[in-house]
Amino acid sequence: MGLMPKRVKHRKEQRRSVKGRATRGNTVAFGEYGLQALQPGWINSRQIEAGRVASTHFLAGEGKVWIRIFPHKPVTSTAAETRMGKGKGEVEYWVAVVKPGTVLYEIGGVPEDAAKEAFLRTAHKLPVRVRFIRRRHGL
Amino acid sequence: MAKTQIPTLKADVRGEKGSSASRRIRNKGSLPAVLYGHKEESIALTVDHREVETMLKHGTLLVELDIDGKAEQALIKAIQHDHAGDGMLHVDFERVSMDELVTVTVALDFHGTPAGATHGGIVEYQLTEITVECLPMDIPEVIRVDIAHLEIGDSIHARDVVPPEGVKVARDPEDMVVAVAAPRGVEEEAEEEAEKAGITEPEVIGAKKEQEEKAEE
Repeated sequence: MGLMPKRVKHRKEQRRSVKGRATRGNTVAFGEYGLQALQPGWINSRQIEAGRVASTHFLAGEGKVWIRIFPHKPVTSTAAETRMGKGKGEVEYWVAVVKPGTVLYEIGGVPEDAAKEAFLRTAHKLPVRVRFIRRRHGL
Repeated sequence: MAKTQIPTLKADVRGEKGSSASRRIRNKGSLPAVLYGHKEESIALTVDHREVETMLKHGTLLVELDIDGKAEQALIKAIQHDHAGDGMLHVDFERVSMDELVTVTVALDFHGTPAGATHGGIVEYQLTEITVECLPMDIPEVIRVDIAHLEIGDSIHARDVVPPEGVKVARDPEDMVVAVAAPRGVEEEAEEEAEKAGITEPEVIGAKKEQEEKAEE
C-alpha cells in the first residue's frame, strides 16, 4: 500500500461526485513551478507515487519536489466472481479527490526547462489533464 | 531602481457592483477595482485590464489614479487571480501619502551561477521575494542578490541582502534566502513506513473502544 491516512473516522466512504473548481490549494505555495489539474477526478496513491518518482528521477537529486495532494478517500470494490449483495466490498485503494485548479505537485530549485521536462513525465502518469504553472510573485 | 515619475492610471467610478456586473466589466476588457485607505470612504472603480497588466510586468506598485479628473496616489495592494485561468479578476488600491513608510514585497533578482553549483552543489532558493519597508517613491522593482561567490555549504540570509538606499528589509535577519547544498545523488526514497511495519489499513477512530465495550458485555 502506498500513501494512505494513519487514522480515519470511518473505514468506508460513499463515492460522491466532484463538483466545482478548487478554491483552496490552487496556488504554487512551496516551490517555483507547479502542475495544476484542469479536470476533476480521483488520483490514486499509486498514481501519485508514480508521478513523484517520474519527476524526481528526471531531476536526479537536484531541486525539491512537493506533493500537494493526499489520498484521503477509500475506494471499495466487490471481489470478482462474487454474487451481488452481502454488503459493501472491502477497501481496495485510496484516492485524492481533485478539482480543476488543484496544484498537484510543485518543484523548486531547478531551472524552468528542467521543471517543465520533469512535469511532462509526471503528467503521463496522471488520469487528469494538467498544465504547467509558475509561482505568482509579489501580489 | 526607484521610480522618478509615478505612472498614471485612468480609473472610472463603478456604479454597478456584484459578481454579474463585475463579469460584464471583465468581458469588456476592463477590471473591477477598489480604492481604500487613510480612513476615507472606499470607492469602487473600473480600470483598464491591459494597463494594469503592463504596470505589473514592469514591477510598478505605486500609481497615480486619475478618477474622473481627480488624482489620487495609491499602491497596488492586492490582486485576485483566476487560478484556473490566467487573468486577473480584481485589483485593490490603497491610498498612500508620499511621506509615509509602506511595507511591500519585492522580487529578488539572483545574479550569477554559484561556484558551488559548478562543482555539483544544489542551489536551494528559499525566498524569491522579500518584504521591505520604504517610502513609496523608493520602492525598488527588484533587489539584486549576487550569488556567484557561493561555495557548497554557503548560504545567504536576509541580513546579507543589500537593499537600495532608503529601503529597509522587513524580515527576520536569520531567514535563509539561498543556499548551496552538497549533492545528494539519486536517492530512492525508503519504502513507506507503514509498509515496513506491515500496516495495510488505517486505524479507525473509536473502533477499539467499541470492540472493548462489546468484549466487556
